[in-house]
Amino acid sequence: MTETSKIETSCANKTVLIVDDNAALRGLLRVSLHAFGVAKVYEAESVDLALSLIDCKHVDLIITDWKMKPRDGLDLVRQVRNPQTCSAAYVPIIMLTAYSDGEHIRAAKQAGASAFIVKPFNSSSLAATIVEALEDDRIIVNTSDYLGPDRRSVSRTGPTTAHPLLAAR
Amino acid sequence: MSKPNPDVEIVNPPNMLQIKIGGPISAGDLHLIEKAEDAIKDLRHEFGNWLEEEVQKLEDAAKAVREKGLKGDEGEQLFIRAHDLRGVGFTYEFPIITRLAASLTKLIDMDEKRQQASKALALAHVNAIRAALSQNIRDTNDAVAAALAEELEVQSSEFAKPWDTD
Repeated sequence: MTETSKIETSCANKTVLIVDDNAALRGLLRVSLHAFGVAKVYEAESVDLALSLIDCKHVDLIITDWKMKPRDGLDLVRQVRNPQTCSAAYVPIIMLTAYSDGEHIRAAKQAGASAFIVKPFNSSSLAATIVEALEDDRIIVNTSDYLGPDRRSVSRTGPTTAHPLLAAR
Repeated sequence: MSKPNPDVEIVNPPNMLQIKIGGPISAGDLHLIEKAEDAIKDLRHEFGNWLEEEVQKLEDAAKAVREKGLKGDEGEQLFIRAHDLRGVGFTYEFPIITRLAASLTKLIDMDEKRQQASKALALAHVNAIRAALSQNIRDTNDAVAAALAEELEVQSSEFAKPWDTD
């Protein structure tokens, strides 16, 4: 029996935005995403460019690096999750970073990140985290300044996150 | 935030379907994982150039540290470059660079540390990273590189001990 590909199912017809100031890493992510069957990949080298793009293009998933200047990935997550400043607040967001300590992971989750990839990553961890983010079934919380996944819970599709602290209940 | 009600138990039933199929990706995904790895392999000829660019950025930051020390913006810039290298060294098939950069970030990842850290030790990390790339030493199979990496890690960890939270 041929097993169904979860990556294929999750990624089919999806548009992904990569936000990273490192062109080479954007390239690595782009070829991986195309291999997974993602329909369209947009790239932005800064948070401001990403926000402009989100304003005018439909995006199903955002993968953002954390450490960028002048604005960082955490700033992007907060901006996207604010319904007063962004019309795509519900979009799953994966944080990509070399930080792996609990404090950073909690901060990313608190800002509204859906999942977390600790660099260095490989194709398997990238695929697993994309599936996790796209199948995130947490309740969507809507307040005056936050619209996004319930930050107190984790996805029922877990425990699948790239970092165990994100799966901690 | 409201206090948890002791009379209420929140039950999170396990997702049995997920458990049965064994995680977020399945055997049916393997061909796509391989496809992605092949696509990345096609870019391998670029890895050296990309890493060279990153190491040059690190060296530029190190030059400023050499002149002005670790305590100001120069130290933070060096940390940012080391942090970037830690993230990409392994991906670009130089795991020893990830290891050396990780040791450097441990040394200077907080402003408080940068006020006290040894500039010479920080720059020794930068020199080791440059040497690894220039001499194509990718991992600790090289005995000298292994010993150097270990010594730098020991010194960095020793310095960072007071800040360890683990």
